[in-house]
Amino acid sequence: MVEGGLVAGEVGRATESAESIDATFERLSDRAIDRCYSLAGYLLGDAADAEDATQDAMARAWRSRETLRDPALFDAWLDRILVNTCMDRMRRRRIVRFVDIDAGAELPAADPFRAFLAGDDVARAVAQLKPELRVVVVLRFWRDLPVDAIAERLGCPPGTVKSRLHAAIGALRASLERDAEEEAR
Amino acid sequence: MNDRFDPDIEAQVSAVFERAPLVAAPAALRDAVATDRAERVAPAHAARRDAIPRPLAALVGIAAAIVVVAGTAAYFATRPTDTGGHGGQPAVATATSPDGLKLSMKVARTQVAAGEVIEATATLVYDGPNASITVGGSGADGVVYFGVRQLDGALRIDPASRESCGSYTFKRGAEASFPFQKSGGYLNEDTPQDRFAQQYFSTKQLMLPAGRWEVYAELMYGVRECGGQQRDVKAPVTVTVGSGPAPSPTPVPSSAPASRSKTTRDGIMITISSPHSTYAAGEPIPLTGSIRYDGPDESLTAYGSGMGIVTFGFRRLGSDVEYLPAVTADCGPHALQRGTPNPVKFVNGYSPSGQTGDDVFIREHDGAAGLTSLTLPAGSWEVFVETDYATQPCAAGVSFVKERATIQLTIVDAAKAPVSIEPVPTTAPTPPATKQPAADLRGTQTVTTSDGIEMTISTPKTTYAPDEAITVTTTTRYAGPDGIFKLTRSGSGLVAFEVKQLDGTLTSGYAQTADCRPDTLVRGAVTTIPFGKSGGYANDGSVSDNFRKQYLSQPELVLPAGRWEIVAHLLYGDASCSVATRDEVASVIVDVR
Repeated sequence: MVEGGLVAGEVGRATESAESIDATFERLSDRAIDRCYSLAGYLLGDAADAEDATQDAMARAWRSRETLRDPALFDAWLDRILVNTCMDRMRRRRIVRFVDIDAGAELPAADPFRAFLAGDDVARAVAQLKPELRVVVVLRFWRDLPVDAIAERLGCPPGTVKSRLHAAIGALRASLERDAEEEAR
Repeated sequence: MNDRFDPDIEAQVSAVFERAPLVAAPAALRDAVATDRAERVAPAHAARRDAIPRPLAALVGIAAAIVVVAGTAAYFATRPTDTGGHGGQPAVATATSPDGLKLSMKVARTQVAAGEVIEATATLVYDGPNASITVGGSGADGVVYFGVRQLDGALRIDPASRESCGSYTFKRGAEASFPFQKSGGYLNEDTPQDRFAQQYFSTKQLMLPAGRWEVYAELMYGVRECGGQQRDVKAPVTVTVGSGPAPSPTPVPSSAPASRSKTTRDGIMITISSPHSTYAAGEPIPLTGSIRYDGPDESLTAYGSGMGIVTFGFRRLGSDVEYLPAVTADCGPHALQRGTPNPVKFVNGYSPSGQTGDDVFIREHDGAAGLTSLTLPAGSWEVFVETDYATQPCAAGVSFVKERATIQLTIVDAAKAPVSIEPVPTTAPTPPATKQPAADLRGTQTVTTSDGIEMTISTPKTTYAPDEAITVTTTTRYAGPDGIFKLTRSGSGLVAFEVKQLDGTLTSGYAQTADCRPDTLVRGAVTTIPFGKSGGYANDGSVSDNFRKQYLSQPELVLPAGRWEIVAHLLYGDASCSVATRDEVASVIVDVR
């Protein structure tokens, strides 16, 4: 079994014909959709945005499915498309609004991502990170990926991932310390 | 590999995310993904869903001035009902938001002639449970926007709105009327879309080229207030515009030249070029091909068809069917002297490698008519020269070398093009840019990407008064190894700008639309990018938000006292839109005091 649950036999079947590539793609993407939606949700902090990003990424992936030479890399490939889609959205939006914990009563019950990211000091600090830093944190700590796998998904060298993680951790520490100081006043 | 950084913080973050559940995708999302696949995802589909960061500034005629509002938008599927309307009959489409705002789009006639004004009006009525509803909106008319989309083509105008956001109250049962009003933007590019947009915005009245069009009203607002949860419903009506008078045979205006070279392992370079990259359907396309030997020997003898070892071919972009000329299989010798270019003539008489609807057009306009130049139907095409040769006389076991140099051409259907098309003096090949000498290095910076795209940003000076407009000059130039470089970028443009306060925390941010447009850079051509503001604000009253609001409220770049970095982001991706968007930055630093 390889990452994402694709077994070796599926790889072989996937390369047999265009039709089986489509079928394999559909099976794998159906299997991945919850993970993609969740990843997008924790990156974007909003369920509606996550739905849009996931649909966009799935559509892009579907259009580009024939460029995926090795279906065993499906998960990493799809993640990369999804992360790019989310990054584009975050860069364009830049300002990500998260509801204060005090306003928790007004949180839409149907948005688990907002609720999660507003429900804890650390989570709120993560939500305030710049997109480039937030992505590595979510991939590292929620997706539980090692640096190399994150680098693969972001299309950058592992050293870049490390430096971003370093910067992210530093920013989180500063943010939490700032919160603590304000609370102490 | 050591990827531990700060164990304490890491442990906290890790503990938080351990509690973050895997959230099941909503059924609507699963259905949408399945539908996309079932429809085999037409290229424009993703963009058609109106990516949430939509342009909101008043954009007409302003390149890349895009603003997005912070917050989230819910695209919900209140399916509009279209009462149809046939022939010259009126038609109405309605859509209702979850808050009870009912939007209706009416057109006087669903069939009009080319050049005829399309009468369209939207109405809005609140039919919810309360006595009234208050919402925040940024449209020219508050919360109602208008746009058009070509159903039998790719042209479209997405609506835009003002930078400011207002509060609007609708009483239950009181109908508000909104005449069709144009908004949107274009980028001053030499593309069919931009030429259409310029034509569209040249009049206040709604007139469209021949074809089938979706004319829609769109209701967009923030629940209760600006920055509240965004609502977005659309009421589209289909309008058919007749052909009208015969279109002018005037060819599409000048566009960037197209050229491409490829060199084989034996040092044979083949080149294809055309003076323009956009032509009208049926217009003869001048093509130049050449072959030149640049290898280590004085000459090379290549063996191939007696008709020549270089041939032209073409293919509709995305199609598997290629049009290739018939060639003889006599394997004649062709002597090539080093450094001597040999022109290759275009030869007609193409036959497709499969079935395609383009066959009739091409037979009528090319082979059957005996023309000596290529004509093509509307669409995006790849035209190429291909060499296929051996370096030994043909015999069993001799391997052939095949190489192809391809240019991409856009063919515009003259019948569907705007009535009058003026050349847009944008990108033109110029000598390589010479970097301006900078007395103060803070006032200019150049970045070169690994693909060979250079971007230079500069300001004439580095110190400004608080009320003084800062002039920013930014240029891009492709200096890579190929004649052209294909990329994709946002419809907002290749470059986005932002400002960052270096002695403080203020930043403007920037925004781009989420579409993905193909673009081509010609080697050596310098393009000047005007400074443009983009970004968003949340109206939350914070200092940073007030700065962004102030920043976006004026066209000039005027900054408060302090030290500022003016950043140009060069944002592009590969041709498939499927890999990471490159974000290369160049910046200058200015002091405002």
